[in-house]
Amino acid sequence: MNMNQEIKELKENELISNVSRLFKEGYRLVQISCSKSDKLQLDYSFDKEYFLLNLRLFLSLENPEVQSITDIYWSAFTYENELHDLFGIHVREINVDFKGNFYRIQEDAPFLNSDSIQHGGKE
Amino acid sequence: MFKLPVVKMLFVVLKSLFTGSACKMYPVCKQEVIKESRGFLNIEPSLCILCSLCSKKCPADALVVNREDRTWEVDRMKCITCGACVEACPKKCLILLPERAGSSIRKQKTDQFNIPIEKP
Amino acid sequence: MASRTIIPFGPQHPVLPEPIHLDLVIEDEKVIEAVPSFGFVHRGLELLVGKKDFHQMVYIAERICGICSMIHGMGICYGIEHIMKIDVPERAKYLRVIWSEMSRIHSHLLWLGLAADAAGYESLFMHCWRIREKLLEIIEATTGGRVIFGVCKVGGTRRDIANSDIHGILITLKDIEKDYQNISKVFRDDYTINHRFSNVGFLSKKDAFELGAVGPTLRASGVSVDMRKTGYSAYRHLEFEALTENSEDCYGRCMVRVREIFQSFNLIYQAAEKLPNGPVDIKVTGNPEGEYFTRLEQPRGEVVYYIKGNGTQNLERFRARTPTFANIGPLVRMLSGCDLADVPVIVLSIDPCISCAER
Repeated sequence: MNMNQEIKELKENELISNVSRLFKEGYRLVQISCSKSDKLQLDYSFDKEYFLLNLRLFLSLENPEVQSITDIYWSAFTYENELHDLFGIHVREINVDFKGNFYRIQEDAPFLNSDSIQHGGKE
Repeated sequence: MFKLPVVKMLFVVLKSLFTGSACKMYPVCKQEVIKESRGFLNIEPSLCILCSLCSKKCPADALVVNREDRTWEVDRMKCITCGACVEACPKKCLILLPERAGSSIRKQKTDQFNIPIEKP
Repeated sequence: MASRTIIPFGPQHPVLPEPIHLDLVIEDEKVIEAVPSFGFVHRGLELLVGKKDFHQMVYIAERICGICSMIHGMGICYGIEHIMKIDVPERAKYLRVIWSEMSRIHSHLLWLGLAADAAGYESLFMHCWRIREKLLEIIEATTGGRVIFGVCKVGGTRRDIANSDIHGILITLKDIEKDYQNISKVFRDDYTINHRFSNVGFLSKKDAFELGAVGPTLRASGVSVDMRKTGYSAYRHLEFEALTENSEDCYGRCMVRVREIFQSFNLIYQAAEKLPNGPVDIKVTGNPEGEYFTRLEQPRGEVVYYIKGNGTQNLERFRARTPTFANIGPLVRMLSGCDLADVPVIVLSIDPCISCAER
């Protein structure tokens, strides 16, 4: 199997320096995702020659906040606005800030309070 | 002469001029049913043992099995005809027929089957 | 300085098969900035992992989007199989390749039809869809569904193609390919299409890479990235090259798709020739525990699934980053500076699939 991937855990303040190093080394931004357990787990995935490198951050559930990487990867604003709209993570200094209007959904941060899937879908 | 793109397109146009219509006059000509198609969930009530494995496997929650009233119910509008219930059924009493389930003007269209009491 | 106007584009527009909204900031006839927004078809499918077990999630993942359904199903199966260390039978791997290449052909034919329609060629649009219809019949006869294939399951495939049927399928496919050959010439050589698509939606090689474009959008800018090259499923046994174009515009994206259809036909022939005998599925016991990033190549580009299992029937997290979502950034960059009349063509050129992007 040559689908190589590696996960690297980071502290929050190391994120920007690591991402800008990867940008200089010619990595392509693949995705930013978030998973909720007892903490919020952020995954920044980068690709170079079919090698997937994940930078992993952990944020607390109360008032999660993270620095934007849109200064380095311009197109990351889609992912970061998604983080804000679905998980309620406040992203600092984002280049195109939709302020919660990227996804036109009724509730704020539905994925953070995932009990909200219980209602809806019925007539 | 074949270098001209217009001529190349002309071949396509001429061909379709002589081959006739690719469409069917639908309500007049019946649509051919492909045998392997997943279309319509049906049950053979006499074989059913009300084990309710099908409703557990159903990803759309379209099946309701009631042991007390001995009924088996499918909501046609919820059913996604995936065939998970057919594979799960231990008695092989469920079958996917190739014909489509008909349309409905209501959001709920339930078909209920009474399961006869099995004879010893 | 000319005054600025904001023109809303979408969610309903003739070129858009699905709803996306763009606010176009216009100065005279030029678009200065485009601001996209989503949420018209957001369904929160990812959260259903809490309610459905991982076998049922395969059906749900397939219904993220109609056109990409086969590879969505394959992606989640592949991820779970990798976590659970299941070795899928060889025949199932080849069958998955055959079906996913069929889905690529029908997706690209659909796009070519829409592109022809956007250029004003209505009968060409009909021709593309006429060919696609023949392929859909093969798909229905082998899988049971026209667009929702429903054949992938964790541990293999749910249906088998009998060896005796394969010969007939190949003959029909060769017919379709011959038919398509005539139509592809129109896309390749026609004056109007060439002028409508050339030098529209320019995206340089550097931009495409840095903005994280994927699929034909990236390859049309000359970057050779194709996830099939990583050799998932049976792709490692098949010979193909990642197709690139250097024109960096909408015409390049169109040409990549035109050529990829031929490539997909070729891959199906290769896979059918090498198709081994044997079972198509194995029994799966236990629950997944672990995490994995699956990356596959969809018709629209690279798709990433993040699958995390915690040893129970329900997965802890299922996340899909779909190609259209990654292409939104490049789309916004392409739109800034273009003419208002070119906006529909540029939006179409990334092959937007909004129900994928919003999930």
